[in-house]
Amino acid sequence: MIDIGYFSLCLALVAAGCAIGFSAAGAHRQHLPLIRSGEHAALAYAGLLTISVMVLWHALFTHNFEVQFVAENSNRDMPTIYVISALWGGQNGSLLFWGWILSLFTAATVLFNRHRYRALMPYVVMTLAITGFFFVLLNLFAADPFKKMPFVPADGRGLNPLLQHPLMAIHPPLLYLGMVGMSVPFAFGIAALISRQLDSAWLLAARRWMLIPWTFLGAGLLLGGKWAYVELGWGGYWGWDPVENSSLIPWLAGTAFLHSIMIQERRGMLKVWNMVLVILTYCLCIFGTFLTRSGIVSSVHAFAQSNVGPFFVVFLGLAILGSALLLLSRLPELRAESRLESFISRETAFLLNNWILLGMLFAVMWGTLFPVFSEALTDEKITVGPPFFNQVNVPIGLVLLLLTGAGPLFAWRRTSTESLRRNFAVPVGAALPAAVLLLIAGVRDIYALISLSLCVFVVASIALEFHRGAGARRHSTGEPYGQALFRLLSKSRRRYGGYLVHLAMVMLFIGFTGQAFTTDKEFVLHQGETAHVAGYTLQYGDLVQTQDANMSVVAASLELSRQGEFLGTLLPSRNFYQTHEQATTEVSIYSSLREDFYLILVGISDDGSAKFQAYVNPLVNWVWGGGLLFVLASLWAMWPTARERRLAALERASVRQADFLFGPGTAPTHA
Amino acid sequence: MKKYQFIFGSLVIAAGLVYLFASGVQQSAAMHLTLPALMEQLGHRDFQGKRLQLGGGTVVAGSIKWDEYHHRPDFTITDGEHQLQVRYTGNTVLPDTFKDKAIVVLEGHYKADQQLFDAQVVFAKCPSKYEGQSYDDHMKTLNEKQPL
Repeated sequence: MIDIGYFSLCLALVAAGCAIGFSAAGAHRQHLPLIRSGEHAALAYAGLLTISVMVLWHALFTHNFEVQFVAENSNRDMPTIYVISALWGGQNGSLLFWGWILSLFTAATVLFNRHRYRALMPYVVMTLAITGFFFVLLNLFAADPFKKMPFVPADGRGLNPLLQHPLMAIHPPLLYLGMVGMSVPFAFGIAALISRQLDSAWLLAARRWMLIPWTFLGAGLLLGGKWAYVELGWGGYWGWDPVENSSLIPWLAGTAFLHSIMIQERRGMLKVWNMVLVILTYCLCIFGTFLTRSGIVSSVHAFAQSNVGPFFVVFLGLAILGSALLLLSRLPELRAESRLESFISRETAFLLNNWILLGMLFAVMWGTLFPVFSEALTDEKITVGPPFFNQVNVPIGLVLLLLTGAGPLFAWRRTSTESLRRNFAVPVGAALPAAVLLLIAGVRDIYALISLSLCVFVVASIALEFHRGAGARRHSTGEPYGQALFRLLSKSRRRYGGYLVHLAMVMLFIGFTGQAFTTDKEFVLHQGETAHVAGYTLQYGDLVQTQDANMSVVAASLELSRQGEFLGTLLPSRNFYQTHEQATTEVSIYSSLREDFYLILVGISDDGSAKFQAYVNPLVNWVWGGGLLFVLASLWAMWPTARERRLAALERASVRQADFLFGPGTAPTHA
Repeated sequence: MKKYQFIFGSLVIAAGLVYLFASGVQQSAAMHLTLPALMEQLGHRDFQGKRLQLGGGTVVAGSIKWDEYHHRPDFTITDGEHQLQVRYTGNTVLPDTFKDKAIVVLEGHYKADQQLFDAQVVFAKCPSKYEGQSYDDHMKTLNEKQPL
């Protein structure tokens, strides 16, 4: 059985190789059957990797501890969901999983786009297959998930109890879907460069294929934060750890790309820049994968050191070099069609947005790699911690927030002072009183004050856009206001979906701002005693002990109230897992829209008294709420409109008809 | 004219960024050392007041002495050759991965007068991946890499 997995991995390498060769040759000679063979090879490569993955999953489910990976990452009494997630619980399996997702993305691209983007597709398939080839190669020669043990152990090592959390079963696949999926827009960029089809067709494809992984990656980042928050017990959700940073960095690059392509579509500018961004996003995804697996920066949760590092360096070097040379050779064809007419324009706002996002990206990267650079330059390894990242990113983030609201208020090309005054009147008129109110309410932290006022500014600016659009529509169609607003949202999904994403960002910023007001306190209570924390009253009742085969639990029961009103019973606990000889701290959270009361049971003394640590975290739920809105709004923005669906269907029909009447490949490429 | 405005604007932004970077680094910079490197430099280098990040150590089995409420322990770390006494003085509850034989990265100060490391932050590897993180594996890689 295991040999089938290994064998189909070998075949997948061959199939990926064929996909590269056939596609390149077919495109070069304009030979349709060859191009088709390339596509079929890509589909076969996806199918073969699927078989490999299924075999490994089967081995995990049947507890085949003959396989080293299975023995090291699972055991007999693991719940089913964690047997599934054990696939990406270790280095070798996760690399296989990476390659598999890439192959699925490749197959999806072939199936959805082969008629639509005929001139680009062979090169798209080629580029994706090259990346796929690399990962299969890695699996075969450096990280074999099917490697057998010299003996068969009775039971496996199992999965770390900390990772036995449902969020940990979804968070890594979401990150992978994000990081891997960004290969597709890159492939379209490269295909456009090679085929010299540098009009906006590739941009449209790249935009949609960027939105999908971008959403996955964003959701993955937030879920990882949620896991850290409920599981790690330090009261926060983001620690600027290299592993977290390595997936934030490509997300920032992708965000910059999604914004700057709008200038190219509208005004034919920034063509080179967009290529650079899409290449950068891809390289950063590979780099992030490399960073977490090579051990070049020390992190709390980096993978074990292994020998995959040099492979990544070589591949990344080739990718950068190849893309750069290709881009250089096409520079004359990427000349801008128009120039910046005025600094007071939408274009400038977008440009600034790109600057800021890249500034943030650079800052995060700088901080993450600071130990490496400093060691190379001064022989002394200097690390920087969260204060660095916060110090740098908070101001940059606030400027970004300002632009989120201000950008849409500028007109394309140039904006007259008169229209500026008119557009800014409402948002500024809303933000200034809000700032005064916040001051009166006692907000003294300067960053928090600016941030919350800016949030009001952005919301007002978005509301103004919605109101104007709906008003205009009601005027021209006579629809009632509500209907006009809904139709507006569903007809211009891109634009208004984008604004909804901005609203999600506002919610996130409100949540982030809450961190400025966090309070924490540690205290010892004997049974029956009460403690007071930030307006809450906490009464310690008693200790509850339970035990099952897997673990024993000691929980403290406390009654939480505020101003005499009973809010709930908190049960922070410590669980001891027998098989792992490890304890986990389970926090207990009383959560409301305003704030979280976060309670940790630190430890228990012999006399039954216990030490607790309490955090009051204002506005945390806004982060999770913002995350949810982010996903929904992105889905709204990427969902094809009725018109786009009709067009796509027509196009497919016309391609088929042309193939039938005049022979394959005669239909004009993209509409 | 416009061009100069643009250049000027960029310079202002760049200067702001450089300032943010520099002050951020100053606030949180810590010198990374491995345990053997620290032990070897102790004689001829003053670490007074210097924020250190100390890697390359594992918790000596049985050395963890918790306080009454299992909050701030004293413990000893080793690289197989040297040993160093550590006192945890941070606030956060230690990660659950902190136990005998755990691989730890510490942040804090070396107190020469007490010959101990005052750790404000303790990272214990590693919640994420189990493989290759066992004590034996770690000692093996340490031995292979010597001299560090």
